[in-house]
Amino acid sequence: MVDIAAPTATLFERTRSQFDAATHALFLRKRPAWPLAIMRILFGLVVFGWTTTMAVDVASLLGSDALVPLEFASQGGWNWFALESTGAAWVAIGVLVIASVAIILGWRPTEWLVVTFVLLVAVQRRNPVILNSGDVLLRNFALILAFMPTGAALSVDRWRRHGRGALWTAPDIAPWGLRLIQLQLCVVYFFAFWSKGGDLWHNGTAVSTVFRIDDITRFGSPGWLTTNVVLIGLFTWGTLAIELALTTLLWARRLRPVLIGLGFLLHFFIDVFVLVGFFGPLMMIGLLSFADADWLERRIATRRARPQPA
Amino acid sequence: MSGLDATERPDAHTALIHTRVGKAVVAVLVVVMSVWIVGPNIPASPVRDKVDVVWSPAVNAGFEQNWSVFSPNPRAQTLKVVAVAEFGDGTTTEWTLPEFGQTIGAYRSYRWRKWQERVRLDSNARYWDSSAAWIARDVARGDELPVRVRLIRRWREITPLTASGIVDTKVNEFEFHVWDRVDG
Repeated sequence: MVDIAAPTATLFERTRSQFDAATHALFLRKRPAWPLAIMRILFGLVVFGWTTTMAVDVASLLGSDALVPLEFASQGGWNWFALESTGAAWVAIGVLVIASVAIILGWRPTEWLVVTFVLLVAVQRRNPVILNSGDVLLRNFALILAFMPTGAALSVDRWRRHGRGALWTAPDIAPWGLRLIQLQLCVVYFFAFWSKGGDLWHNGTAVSTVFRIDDITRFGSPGWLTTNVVLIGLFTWGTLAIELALTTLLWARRLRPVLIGLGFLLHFFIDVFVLVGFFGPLMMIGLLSFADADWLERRIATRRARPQPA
Repeated sequence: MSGLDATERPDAHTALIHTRVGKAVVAVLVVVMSVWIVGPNIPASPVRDKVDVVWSPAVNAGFEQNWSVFSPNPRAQTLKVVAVAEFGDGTTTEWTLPEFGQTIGAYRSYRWRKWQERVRLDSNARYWDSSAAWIARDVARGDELPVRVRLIRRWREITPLTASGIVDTKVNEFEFHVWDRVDG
Protein backbone atom coordinates (compact mmCIF):
# COMPACT_ATOMS: atom_id res chain seq x y z
CA MET A 1 0.00 0.00 0.00
CA VAL A 2 1.43 3.39 -1.03
CA ASP A 3 1.20 6.12 1.55
CA ILE A 4 -0.04 9.25 -0.28
CA ALA A 5 -0.77 11.31 2.83
CA ALA A 6 2.72 12.84 3.10
CA PRO A 7 3.11 13.92 -0.58
CA THR A 8 -0.45 15.27 -0.56
CA ALA A 9 0.26 17.32 2.54
CA THR A 10 3.46 18.67 0.97
CA LEU A 11 1.62 19.59 -2.23
CA PHE A 12 -1.11 21.25 -0.20
CA GLU A 13 1.45 23.25 1.81
CA ARG A 14 3.32 24.32 -1.33
CA THR A 15 0.10 25.39 -3.08
CA ARG A 16 -1.00 27.28 -0.01
CA SER A 17 2.28 29.13 0.34
CA GLN A 18 2.24 30.00 -3.39
CA PHE A 19 -1.32 31.27 -3.03
CA ASP A 20 -0.34 33.35 0.02
CA ALA A 21 2.62 34.83 -1.84
CA ALA A 22 0.50 35.67 -4.89
CA THR A 23 -2.25 37.21 -2.75
CA HIS A 24 0.34 39.25 -0.84
CA ALA A 25 1.93 40.53 -4.04
CA LEU A 26 -1.46 41.34 -5.56
CA PHE A 27 -3.17 43.11 -2.67
CA LEU A 28 -0.65 43.98 0.02
CA ARG A 29 2.85 44.58 -1.38
CA LYS A 30 3.26 48.33 -1.21
CA ARG A 31 4.33 50.43 -4.14
CA PRO A 32 4.80 54.17 -4.82
CA ALA A 33 1.63 56.26 -5.05
CA TRP A 34 2.57 58.12 -8.27
CA PRO A 35 0.18 56.41 -10.74
CA LEU A 36 -2.73 56.77 -8.33
CA ALA A 37 -1.99 60.46 -7.78
CA ILE A 38 -1.86 61.07 -11.55
CA MET A 39 -5.13 59.14 -11.99
CA ARG A 40 -6.78 61.25 -9.28
CA ILE A 41 -5.79 64.52 -10.95
CA LEU A 42 -6.95 63.37 -14.41
CA PHE A 43 -10.18 61.97 -12.99
CA GLY A 44 -10.85 65.30 -11.25
CA LEU A 45 -10.34 67.07 -14.58
CA VAL A 46 -12.85 64.75 -16.26
CA VAL A 47 -15.41 65.35 -13.48
CA PHE A 48 -14.80 69.10 -13.94
CA GLY A 49 -15.31 68.78 -17.71
CA TRP A 50 -18.42 66.62 -17.30
CA THR A 51 -19.94 69.05 -14.80
CA THR A 52 -19.18 72.28 -16.63
CA THR A 53 -20.50 70.93 -19.94
CA MET A 54 -23.65 69.90 -18.06
CA ALA A 55 -23.88 73.27 -16.26
CA VAL A 56 -24.54 75.15 -19.49
CA ASP A 57 -27.58 72.92 -20.11
CA VAL A 58 -29.02 72.77 -16.59
CA ALA A 59 -32.29 74.49 -17.52
CA SER A 60 -32.77 72.46 -20.73
CA LEU A 61 -31.75 69.03 -19.43
CA LEU A 62 -32.21 69.04 -15.64
CA GLY A 63 -34.53 71.91 -14.71
CA SER A 64 -38.20 71.96 -13.72
CA ASP A 65 -39.22 72.69 -17.33
CA ALA A 66 -36.58 70.53 -18.98
CA LEU A 67 -36.84 68.57 -22.21
CA VAL A 68 -37.53 65.47 -20.12
CA PRO A 69 -39.97 66.38 -17.32
CA LEU A 70 -39.54 65.48 -13.66
CA GLU A 71 -42.08 62.66 -13.89
CA PHE A 72 -39.66 60.76 -16.16
CA ALA A 73 -36.73 60.91 -13.75
CA SER A 74 -35.41 57.40 -13.18
CA GLN A 75 -37.67 55.58 -10.74
CA GLY A 76 -35.35 52.60 -10.31
CA GLY A 77 -33.01 52.26 -7.38
CA TRP A 78 -32.52 54.39 -4.34
CA ASN A 79 -32.90 58.09 -4.87
CA TRP A 80 -30.15 59.62 -2.79
CA PHE A 81 -32.08 62.81 -3.21
CA ALA A 82 -34.30 63.76 -6.09
CA LEU A 83 -33.50 66.93 -8.02
CA GLU A 84 -37.04 68.30 -8.14
CA SER A 85 -36.33 71.88 -9.18
CA THR A 86 -33.93 73.88 -11.31
CA GLY A 87 -32.46 75.31 -8.09
CA ALA A 88 -31.70 71.83 -6.72
CA ALA A 89 -30.02 70.90 -10.01
CA TRP A 90 -27.88 74.05 -9.80
CA VAL A 91 -26.85 73.22 -6.21
CA ALA A 92 -25.85 69.68 -7.26
CA ILE A 93 -23.84 71.00 -10.22
CA GLY A 94 -22.21 73.68 -8.03
CA VAL A 95 -21.12 71.15 -5.42
CA LEU A 96 -19.83 68.85 -8.17
CA VAL A 97 -17.61 71.67 -9.47
CA ILE A 98 -16.24 72.20 -5.95
CA ALA A 99 -15.73 68.44 -5.58
CA SER A 100 -13.86 68.20 -8.88
CA VAL A 101 -11.49 71.02 -7.89
CA ALA A 102 -10.91 69.39 -4.48
CA ILE A 103 -10.14 66.07 -6.19
CA ILE A 104 -7.72 67.71 -8.64
CA LEU A 105 -5.92 69.48 -5.78
CA GLY A 106 -6.02 66.44 -3.51
CA TRP A 107 -7.84 68.12 -0.62
CA ARG A 108 -9.69 65.35 1.26
CA PRO A 109 -10.21 63.48 -2.03
CA THR A 110 -11.77 60.37 -0.44
CA GLU A 111 -14.65 62.38 1.05
CA TRP A 112 -15.12 64.38 -2.16
CA LEU A 113 -15.11 61.22 -4.28
CA VAL A 114 -18.00 59.85 -2.24
CA VAL A 115 -19.84 63.18 -2.62
CA THR A 116 -19.13 63.05 -6.36
CA PHE A 117 -20.58 59.54 -6.67
CA VAL A 118 -23.77 60.47 -4.79
CA LEU A 119 -24.29 63.67 -6.80
CA LEU A 120 -23.54 62.03 -10.15
CA VAL A 121 -26.17 59.39 -9.40
CA ALA A 122 -28.68 62.12 -8.45
CA VAL A 123 -27.99 64.22 -11.55
CA GLN A 124 -27.90 61.27 -13.95
CA ARG A 125 -31.12 59.78 -12.57
CA ARG A 126 -32.86 63.12 -13.10
CA ASN A 127 -32.60 62.64 -16.88
CA PRO A 128 -31.94 59.01 -17.87
CA VAL A 129 -32.73 59.70 -21.56
CA ILE A 130 -29.36 61.40 -22.16
CA LEU A 131 -27.17 58.84 -20.38
CA ASN A 132 -24.27 57.04 -22.03
CA SER A 133 -21.66 54.48 -20.95
CA GLY A 134 -19.17 57.21 -20.06
CA ASP A 135 -21.61 58.65 -17.49
CA VAL A 136 -21.99 55.29 -15.74
CA LEU A 137 -18.24 54.67 -15.83
CA LEU A 138 -17.64 58.13 -14.31
CA ARG A 139 -19.70 57.38 -11.22
CA ASN A 140 -18.29 53.85 -10.88
CA PHE A 141 -14.74 55.20 -10.97
CA ALA A 142 -15.69 57.83 -8.37
CA LEU A 143 -16.84 55.15 -5.94
CA ILE A 144 -13.93 52.78 -6.59
CA LEU A 145 -11.34 55.57 -6.29
CA ALA A 146 -12.80 56.35 -2.85
CA PHE A 147 -11.35 53.00 -1.73
CA MET A 148 -7.83 54.19 -2.52
CA PRO A 149 -5.41 56.62 -0.87
CA THR A 150 -5.70 59.02 -3.81
CA GLY A 151 -4.41 61.95 -1.76
CA ALA A 152 -1.17 60.19 -0.80
CA ALA A 153 0.91 62.11 -3.36
CA LEU A 154 0.77 65.32 -5.42
CA SER A 155 -1.90 66.67 -3.09
CA VAL A 156 -2.78 69.53 -0.76
CA ASP A 157 -3.22 66.90 1.96
CA ARG A 158 0.42 65.82 1.61
CA TRP A 159 1.62 69.43 1.52
CA ARG A 160 -0.31 70.23 4.71
CA ARG A 161 0.98 67.14 6.49
CA HIS A 162 4.64 67.17 5.40
CA GLY A 163 5.37 70.57 3.89
CA ARG A 164 5.97 71.79 0.36
CA GLY A 165 9.10 69.69 -0.15
CA ALA A 166 7.04 66.51 0.22
CA LEU A 167 5.03 67.34 -2.89
CA TRP A 168 7.69 65.72 -5.06
CA THR A 169 7.86 62.55 -3.03
CA ALA A 170 5.35 59.73 -2.94
CA PRO A 171 4.86 57.28 -0.09
CA ASP A 172 4.38 53.57 -0.65
CA ILE A 173 0.75 52.52 -0.58
CA ALA A 174 -1.14 49.23 -0.39
CA PRO A 175 -2.49 48.35 -3.85
CA TRP A 176 -5.69 46.52 -2.85
CA GLY A 177 -7.97 49.38 -3.96
CA LEU A 178 -6.12 49.70 -7.25
CA ARG A 179 -7.06 46.08 -8.06
CA LEU A 180 -10.72 47.05 -8.01
CA ILE A 181 -10.33 49.69 -10.70
CA GLN A 182 -8.23 47.24 -12.72
CA LEU A 183 -11.00 44.66 -12.38
CA GLN A 184 -13.62 47.22 -13.48
CA LEU A 185 -11.47 48.08 -16.49
CA CYS A 186 -11.03 44.45 -17.52
CA VAL A 187 -14.76 43.78 -17.05
CA VAL A 188 -15.59 46.70 -19.36
CA TYR A 189 -13.21 45.40 -22.04
CA PHE A 190 -14.36 41.80 -21.68
CA PHE A 191 -18.09 42.51 -21.93
CA ALA A 192 -17.53 45.06 -24.71
CA PHE A 193 -15.78 42.22 -26.57
CA TRP A 194 -18.28 39.52 -25.55
CA SER A 195 -21.34 41.51 -26.65
CA LYS A 196 -19.99 42.13 -30.17
CA GLY A 197 -21.42 38.89 -31.55
CA GLY A 198 -23.11 40.33 -34.65
CA ASP A 199 -22.31 39.38 -38.26
CA LEU A 200 -20.71 42.76 -39.02
CA TRP A 201 -18.08 42.20 -36.33
CA HIS A 202 -17.54 38.63 -37.50
CA ASN A 203 -17.18 39.52 -41.19
CA GLY A 204 -14.85 42.43 -40.44
CA THR A 205 -16.97 45.39 -41.66
CA ALA A 206 -18.47 46.80 -38.42
CA VAL A 207 -16.07 49.75 -38.16
CA SER A 208 -17.17 50.97 -41.62
CA THR A 209 -20.78 51.05 -40.38
CA VAL A 210 -19.79 52.84 -37.14
CA PHE A 211 -17.92 55.56 -39.06
CA ARG A 212 -20.94 56.14 -41.33
CA ILE A 213 -23.46 56.79 -38.54
CA ASP A 214 -23.55 60.53 -39.26
CA ASP A 215 -25.30 61.50 -36.04
CA ILE A 216 -22.42 60.24 -33.88
CA THR A 217 -19.42 61.23 -36.01
CA ARG A 218 -17.19 63.86 -34.47
CA PHE A 219 -14.66 65.33 -36.93
CA GLY A 220 -16.48 63.93 -39.96
CA SER A 221 -16.50 60.47 -41.45
CA PRO A 222 -13.07 59.26 -42.68
CA GLY A 223 -14.19 58.44 -46.24
CA TRP A 224 -10.77 57.04 -47.22
CA LEU A 225 -11.20 54.43 -44.54
CA THR A 226 -14.88 53.50 -44.61
CA THR A 227 -14.66 52.05 -48.13
CA ASN A 228 -11.28 50.30 -47.81
CA VAL A 229 -12.18 46.64 -47.21
CA VAL A 230 -8.69 45.61 -46.09
CA LEU A 231 -8.17 48.48 -43.64
CA ILE A 232 -11.70 48.15 -42.29
CA GLY A 233 -11.15 44.42 -41.69
CA LEU A 234 -7.92 45.23 -39.88
CA PHE A 235 -9.60 47.87 -37.71
CA THR A 236 -12.69 45.74 -36.96
CA TRP A 237 -10.86 42.56 -35.98
CA GLY A 238 -8.08 44.68 -34.42
CA THR A 239 -10.64 46.27 -32.11
CA LEU A 240 -11.86 42.85 -31.00
CA ALA A 241 -8.29 41.59 -30.55
CA ILE A 242 -7.25 44.63 -28.49
CA GLU A 243 -10.37 44.44 -26.30
CA LEU A 244 -9.72 40.76 -25.59
CA ALA A 245 -6.01 41.34 -24.98
CA LEU A 246 -6.75 44.20 -22.58
CA THR A 247 -9.01 41.85 -20.64
CA THR A 248 -6.44 39.13 -20.18
CA LEU A 249 -2.88 39.95 -21.23
CA LEU A 250 -2.70 43.26 -19.32
CA TRP A 251 -1.89 41.15 -16.27
CA ALA A 252 1.30 39.89 -17.98
CA ARG A 253 3.94 42.37 -16.82
CA ARG A 254 6.15 42.14 -19.92
CA LEU A 255 3.29 42.82 -22.35
CA ARG A 256 1.80 45.64 -20.30
CA PRO A 257 3.56 48.68 -21.82
CA VAL A 258 2.63 47.60 -25.36
CA LEU A 259 -0.97 46.89 -24.40
CA ILE A 260 -1.38 50.17 -22.53
CA GLY A 261 -0.08 51.90 -25.68
CA LEU A 262 -2.54 49.96 -27.87
CA GLY A 263 -5.38 50.81 -25.50
CA PHE A 264 -4.52 54.52 -25.65
CA LEU A 265 -4.36 54.32 -29.44
CA LEU A 266 -7.74 52.56 -29.64
CA HIS A 267 -9.49 55.15 -27.45
CA PHE A 268 -7.77 58.09 -29.14
CA PHE A 269 -8.82 56.82 -32.56
CA ILE A 270 -12.43 56.23 -31.46
CA ASP A 271 -12.59 59.65 -29.77
CA VAL A 272 -11.38 61.46 -32.87
CA PHE A 273 -14.04 59.98 -35.14
CA VAL A 274 -16.96 58.95 -32.92
CA LEU A 275 -18.95 60.66 -30.16
CA VAL A 276 -18.58 58.51 -27.04
CA GLY A 277 -18.75 61.18 -24.34
CA PHE A 278 -16.23 60.83 -21.53
CA PHE A 279 -15.90 57.06 -21.99
CA GLY A 280 -12.56 57.25 -23.84
CA PRO A 281 -10.76 59.61 -21.43
CA LEU A 282 -11.98 57.54 -18.46
CA MET A 283 -10.77 54.27 -19.97
CA MET A 284 -7.35 55.87 -20.58
CA ILE A 285 -7.27 56.94 -16.92
CA GLY A 286 -8.17 53.38 -15.96
CA LEU A 287 -5.27 52.05 -18.06
CA LEU A 288 -2.90 54.19 -15.98
CA SER A 289 -3.71 51.96 -13.01
CA PHE A 290 -1.50 49.37 -14.72
CA ALA A 291 1.44 51.80 -15.00
CA ASP A 292 4.67 50.59 -13.37
CA ALA A 293 4.85 52.59 -10.12
CA ASP A 294 8.44 51.51 -9.36
CA TRP A 295 9.62 52.63 -12.80
CA LEU A 296 7.92 56.00 -12.31
CA GLU A 297 9.51 56.37 -8.88
CA ARG A 298 12.96 55.67 -10.35
CA ARG A 299 12.44 58.21 -13.16
CA ILE A 300 11.28 60.91 -10.77
CA ALA A 301 14.09 60.15 -8.30
CA THR A 302 16.64 60.44 -11.13
CA ARG A 303 15.23 63.82 -12.16
CA ARG A 304 15.25 65.02 -8.56
CA ALA A 305 18.86 63.94 -8.12
CA ARG A 306 20.00 65.92 -11.16
CA PRO A 307 21.75 69.17 -10.20
CA GLN A 308 19.48 72.15 -10.82
CA PRO A 309 20.82 75.03 -12.96
CA ALA A 310 21.97 77.94 -10.84
CA MET B 1 10.92 52.50 0.29
CA SER B 2 9.96 55.77 -1.36
CA GLY B 3 8.34 58.80 0.26
CA LEU B 4 10.01 60.90 2.95
CA ASP B 5 11.53 58.30 5.26
CA ALA B 6 10.78 54.98 6.92
CA THR B 7 8.97 56.70 9.80
CA GLU B 8 6.30 58.29 7.59
CA ARG B 9 2.88 57.29 8.92
CA PRO B 10 0.89 55.33 6.31
CA ASP B 11 -2.44 56.59 5.02
CA ALA B 12 -5.66 55.09 6.44
CA HIS B 13 -6.16 52.77 3.43
CA THR B 14 -2.65 51.37 3.72
CA ALA B 15 -2.73 51.21 7.53
CA LEU B 16 -5.52 48.64 7.24
CA ILE B 17 -3.10 45.98 6.02
CA HIS B 18 -0.95 46.28 9.14
CA THR B 19 -3.44 44.59 11.46
CA ARG B 20 -5.29 41.28 11.39
CA VAL B 21 -8.68 42.96 11.66
CA GLY B 22 -7.71 45.46 8.97
CA LYS B 23 -6.71 42.66 6.61
CA ALA B 24 -10.08 40.99 7.21
CA VAL B 25 -11.83 44.29 6.38
CA VAL B 26 -9.80 44.58 3.18
CA ALA B 27 -10.65 40.97 2.23
CA VAL B 28 -14.38 41.58 2.73
CA LEU B 29 -14.29 44.88 0.80
CA VAL B 30 -12.38 43.35 -2.11
CA VAL B 31 -14.71 40.33 -2.34
CA VAL B 32 -17.91 42.40 -2.08
CA MET B 33 -16.77 45.02 -4.58
CA SER B 34 -15.53 42.34 -7.00
CA VAL B 35 -18.95 40.63 -6.92
CA TRP B 36 -20.64 44.01 -7.45
CA ILE B 37 -18.38 44.72 -10.45
CA VAL B 38 -18.65 41.32 -12.14
CA GLY B 39 -22.12 40.09 -11.10
CA PRO B 40 -24.41 42.55 -12.93
CA ASN B 41 -22.64 41.72 -16.19
CA ILE B 42 -23.70 38.07 -16.15
CA PRO B 43 -26.06 37.50 -19.11
CA ALA B 44 -29.78 37.11 -18.35
CA SER B 45 -30.51 33.55 -17.26
CA PRO B 46 -32.44 31.60 -14.60
CA VAL B 47 -29.20 31.39 -12.60
CA ARG B 48 -28.82 35.15 -12.67
CA ASP B 49 -32.43 35.64 -11.58
CA LYS B 50 -31.68 33.51 -8.52
CA VAL B 51 -28.50 35.30 -7.43
CA ASP B 52 -28.92 38.91 -8.52
CA VAL B 53 -30.10 39.80 -5.02
CA VAL B 54 -26.39 39.77 -4.13
CA TRP B 55 -25.57 42.80 -6.26
CA SER B 56 -28.95 44.55 -6.43
CA PRO B 57 -28.02 46.88 -3.50
CA ALA B 58 -25.08 48.16 -5.56
CA VAL B 59 -27.21 48.65 -8.67
CA ASN B 60 -29.90 50.40 -6.63
CA ALA B 61 -27.27 52.71 -5.17
CA GLY B 62 -26.13 53.68 -8.68
CA PHE B 63 -23.13 51.37 -9.13
CA GLU B 64 -24.29 49.94 -12.45
CA GLN B 65 -22.74 47.87 -15.23
CA ASN B 66 -23.62 47.77 -18.93
CA TRP B 67 -20.80 47.77 -21.40
CA SER B 68 -22.33 46.60 -24.67
CA VAL B 69 -21.01 49.23 -27.08
CA PHE B 70 -21.88 48.96 -30.80
CA SER B 71 -23.26 45.51 -30.15
CA PRO B 72 -24.21 42.96 -31.18
CA ASN B 73 -23.83 45.09 -34.36
CA PRO B 74 -23.46 48.86 -34.69
CA ARG B 75 -26.72 50.66 -35.51
CA ALA B 76 -27.30 50.40 -39.29
CA GLN B 77 -29.14 53.72 -39.57
CA THR B 78 -28.10 57.32 -39.47
CA LEU B 79 -30.87 59.37 -37.94
CA LYS B 80 -32.15 62.83 -37.17
CA VAL B 81 -35.16 64.09 -35.23
CA VAL B 82 -36.56 67.46 -36.31
CA ALA B 83 -39.66 69.38 -35.31
CA VAL B 84 -41.76 71.61 -37.51
CA ALA B 85 -43.51 74.33 -35.50
CA GLU B 86 -46.53 76.03 -37.02
CA PHE B 87 -47.62 79.47 -35.80
CA GLY B 88 -51.07 81.05 -35.78
CA ASP B 89 -50.28 83.14 -38.88
CA GLY B 90 -49.52 80.02 -40.90
CA THR B 91 -45.73 80.44 -40.88
CA THR B 92 -43.53 77.50 -39.88
CA THR B 93 -40.08 77.06 -38.45
CA GLU B 94 -37.94 73.93 -38.29
CA TRP B 95 -36.27 73.02 -35.00
CA THR B 96 -33.16 70.84 -35.06
CA LEU B 97 -30.83 69.63 -32.32
CA PRO B 98 -28.48 72.31 -30.99
CA GLU B 99 -24.84 71.98 -32.13
CA PHE B 100 -21.93 73.02 -29.93
CA GLY B 101 -18.76 72.35 -31.93
CA GLN B 102 -16.49 69.35 -32.28
CA THR B 103 -13.96 69.66 -29.47
CA ILE B 104 -15.31 70.54 -26.00
CA GLY B 105 -18.81 71.09 -27.41
CA ALA B 106 -18.90 67.48 -28.60
CA TYR B 107 -19.33 66.31 -25.01
CA ARG B 108 -22.39 68.55 -24.73
CA SER B 109 -23.79 67.60 -28.15
CA TYR B 110 -23.57 63.91 -27.34
CA ARG B 111 -26.20 64.22 -24.58
CA TRP B 112 -28.65 65.75 -27.06
CA ARG B 113 -27.81 63.06 -29.62
CA LYS B 114 -28.61 60.41 -27.01
CA TRP B 115 -32.00 62.07 -26.45
CA GLN B 116 -32.55 61.99 -30.23
CA GLU B 117 -31.52 58.33 -30.49
CA ARG B 118 -34.00 57.31 -27.78
CA VAL B 119 -36.92 59.67 -28.29
CA ARG B 120 -37.49 58.51 -31.91
CA LEU B 121 -38.37 54.99 -30.77
CA ASP B 122 -42.03 53.95 -30.57
CA SER B 123 -41.21 52.25 -27.28
CA ASN B 124 -40.43 55.73 -25.87
CA ALA B 125 -43.72 57.36 -26.95
CA ARG B 126 -44.20 58.56 -23.38
CA TYR B 127 -41.57 61.26 -24.00
CA TRP B 128 -43.11 62.64 -27.19
CA ASP B 129 -45.72 65.05 -25.88
CA SER B 130 -43.46 66.68 -23.30
CA SER B 131 -40.61 66.92 -25.83
CA ALA B 132 -42.87 68.66 -28.36
CA ALA B 133 -44.15 71.04 -25.66
CA TRP B 134 -40.55 71.91 -24.72
CA ILE B 135 -39.69 72.55 -28.37
CA ALA B 136 -42.78 74.79 -28.63
CA ARG B 137 -41.43 76.89 -25.75
CA ASP B 138 -37.95 76.87 -27.32
CA VAL B 139 -39.14 78.29 -30.67
CA ALA B 140 -41.77 80.67 -29.19
CA ARG B 141 -41.77 84.19 -30.63
CA GLY B 142 -41.86 86.19 -27.44
CA ASP B 143 -45.05 85.10 -25.70
CA GLU B 144 -46.49 83.49 -28.81
CA LEU B 145 -46.28 79.71 -28.77
CA PRO B 146 -46.74 77.76 -32.00
CA VAL B 147 -50.20 76.27 -32.44
CA ARG B 148 -48.80 72.94 -33.54
CA VAL B 149 -45.51 71.06 -33.37
CA ARG B 150 -44.90 68.01 -35.54
CA LEU B 151 -42.10 65.63 -34.54
CA ILE B 152 -40.42 64.03 -37.54
CA ARG B 153 -37.79 61.33 -37.71
CA ARG B 154 -35.50 61.18 -40.73
CA TRP B 155 -33.27 58.20 -41.28
CA ARG B 156 -31.07 56.57 -43.85
CA GLU B 157 -30.12 52.90 -43.92
CA ILE B 158 -26.40 52.16 -43.76
CA THR B 159 -25.63 49.22 -46.00
CA PRO B 160 -22.75 46.93 -45.01
CA LEU B 161 -19.40 47.44 -46.72
CA THR B 162 -18.84 44.93 -49.52
CA ALA B 163 -15.90 44.21 -51.84
CA SER B 164 -17.52 46.52 -54.39
CA GLY B 165 -17.86 49.36 -51.91
CA ILE B 166 -20.91 50.91 -50.26
CA VAL B 167 -24.37 51.61 -51.65
CA ASP B 168 -25.95 55.06 -51.22
CA THR B 169 -29.45 54.98 -49.76
CA LYS B 170 -32.24 57.55 -49.73
CA VAL B 171 -33.39 59.53 -46.69
CA ASN B 172 -36.72 58.39 -45.26
CA GLU B 173 -39.06 60.62 -43.29
CA PHE B 174 -41.92 59.87 -40.90
CA GLU B 175 -44.04 62.17 -38.77
CA PHE B 176 -44.33 60.35 -35.46
CA HIS B 177 -46.11 62.81 -33.21
CA VAL B 178 -48.27 65.94 -33.40
CA TRP B 179 -48.65 68.32 -30.47
CA ASP B 180 -51.45 70.88 -30.52
CA ARG B 181 -51.48 73.94 -28.29
CA VAL B 182 -54.31 73.91 -25.81
CA ASP B 183 -55.48 77.44 -25.00
CA GLY B 184 -57.28 78.20 -21.84
